Amino acid sequence: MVRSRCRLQILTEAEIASVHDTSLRVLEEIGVRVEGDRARSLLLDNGCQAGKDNLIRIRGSLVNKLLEVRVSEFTLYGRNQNQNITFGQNKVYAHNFGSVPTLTDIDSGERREATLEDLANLIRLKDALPNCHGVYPLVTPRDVEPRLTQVVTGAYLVRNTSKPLLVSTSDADETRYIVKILARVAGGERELQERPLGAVMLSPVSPLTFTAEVTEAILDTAAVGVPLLSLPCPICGLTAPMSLAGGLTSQNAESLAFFVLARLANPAVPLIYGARLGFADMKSGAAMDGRPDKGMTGACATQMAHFYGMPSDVYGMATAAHVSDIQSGYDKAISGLTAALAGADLVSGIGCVGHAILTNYEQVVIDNEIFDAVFKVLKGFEVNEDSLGLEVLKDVMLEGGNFLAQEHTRRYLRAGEIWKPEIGNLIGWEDWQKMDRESVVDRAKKRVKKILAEHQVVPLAAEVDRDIDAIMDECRRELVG
Amino acid sequence: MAPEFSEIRDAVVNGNKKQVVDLVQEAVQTTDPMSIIDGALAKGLEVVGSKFEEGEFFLPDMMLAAQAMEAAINILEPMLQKGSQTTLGKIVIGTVEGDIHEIGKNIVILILKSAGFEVFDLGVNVPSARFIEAVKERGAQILGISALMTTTIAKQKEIIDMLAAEGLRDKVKVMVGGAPITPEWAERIGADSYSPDAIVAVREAKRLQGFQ
Repeated sequence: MVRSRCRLQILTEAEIASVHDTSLRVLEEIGVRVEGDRARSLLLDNGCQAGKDNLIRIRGSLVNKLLEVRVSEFTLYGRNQNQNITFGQNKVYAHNFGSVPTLTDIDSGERREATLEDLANLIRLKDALPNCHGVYPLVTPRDVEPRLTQVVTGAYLVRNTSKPLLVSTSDADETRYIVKILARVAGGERELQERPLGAVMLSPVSPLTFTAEVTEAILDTAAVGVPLLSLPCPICGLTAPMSLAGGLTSQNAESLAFFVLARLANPAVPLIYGARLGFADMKSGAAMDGRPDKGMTGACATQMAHFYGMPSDVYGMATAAHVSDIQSGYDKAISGLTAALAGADLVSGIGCVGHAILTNYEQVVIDNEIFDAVFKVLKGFEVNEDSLGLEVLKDVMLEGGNFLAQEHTRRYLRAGEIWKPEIGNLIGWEDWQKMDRESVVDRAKKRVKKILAEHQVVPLAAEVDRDIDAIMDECRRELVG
Repeated sequence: MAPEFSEIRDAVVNGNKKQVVDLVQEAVQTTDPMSIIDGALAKGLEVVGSKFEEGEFFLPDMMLAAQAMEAAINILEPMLQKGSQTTLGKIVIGTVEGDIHEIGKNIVILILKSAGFEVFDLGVNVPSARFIEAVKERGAQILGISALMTTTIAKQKEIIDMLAAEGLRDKVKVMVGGAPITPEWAERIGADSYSPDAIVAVREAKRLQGFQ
């Protein structure tokens, strides 16, 4: 995490206002498709109008009123207090992407299905890496009863990391059990509300459609008071206008509708403006990732989020490459840096490979390093009398010294003035030949194995662990039978 | 080719639905419907197909052309003599229960239709039993099952198992697709074909029917 000195602005103030105004027109003149009786009643009772095809038109005045309560400063708590994510202080944080069912094996390189062991290992890996601040399940384990996957994942998250969590659910039952687990770890529902252990991510179906499962989950989560991360994933030309301004507008309209529902259920629930506006290969229709447009529109979405006084969660570290190669490096660097420079509060994508449907262990370590470099750019440096260096120049030039022997040099080196890579190359050509031309990927793999062998997670109290087992049994009985 | 046919062909290539409809309605006054389909519409789709393969045309061009052609066929089909039309085969396709993603499926459907298949779209969130019912109802040679969520792909296996239980497994070829679907999964559940995208899907459908 770093307090950012930079602020990249792609949209002008007038353009931000245009996106906002047009989104309101989308909500008023078209509406959103809302399924779920509770959500529909709530909207209709608050002056919204039903249209054909399950559409409900939402008044701009309702949007503006509900967003008057600006919750810009709030915290996602880790079990370890040093690892909290605090919004509203101009800090940029990173988290991983996830829920993919397949990965390439660290040893064989073969693509295979993810297991519970992978889920646990990858969560623990992220727990150890300093530039992964929020933890989301990287994989969807395939050796679990599908109906239980999300809830089992919730249990694995609290057991294998002490960092703030990001969880997603697809329906009200999953939400209920995950909230139960989080509440148990927090010490109760009230404690969870006061010191939430993370945020719940939910997505509409683009364009402009909220299914019953999602509306129920939004309303239930908002009622408990856990921060909600709205995560629309429209694709330009497929589920949103092809034009980038149109894509941003459609995404913004989906976000505003999400916020309206959440705030009607709980007028002060903390909200995070997530944005995953994406693109497709327009020849095959397959979603494509890792393009500069991704980071660029992420930067624009950050501007929209801050316009509403909310933290943003955008991409990020996406790539089209299927393995950790040159393309994955430059895809991630370009989009990651762009989003971070815009001041995105949360930048996602750690571990992302292959158009966001694949992952591997070594990429998680490499992405941690890329973020380290990105954060260095954001951090800037001190300009003051001492750092401007007049005195040390005098010492070297006039007293016959050299820079290496100066106290000034040692002081700034120790304070981290310049960046040092963990896994990037440091050695010269000859030494590198002697190391069998070891690549950054090789070193990343070594680091993965070292971390998994050595890293200890802050343990849960024994009784909490036992109670989580009991919650899982109850969940299994109710949802599977 | 009669001048009118090349005009119709070009209007199809340009995806100009209104122009295609106007020209076809005019042409049909003096020419028989089958030769308009063969001489103009099919030719137009050939041009679109090769421009697509060459990377000059993309999906929007394909879709607009296919929609223009579909509008024309809707005019001409009722005029054809019963039984004179042949298709490449009948395909039933849908998205599984609990899943409402449909874009991929819809792209596949439009391209399959344009290629000459008769396609019956069951829509989204389709109960497994309905897939079986529709295969029987339509006498389909191919069943296409789409699933886009890691939590719903198990339905693809369920449907294949149900086909087997009803003694229908060898009567219909099963194609599966969707973002989380992999060739390993398709093989494991006993599907006949896996397609990563709509272009491969059409090629696969033709292969399963013994064409090309």
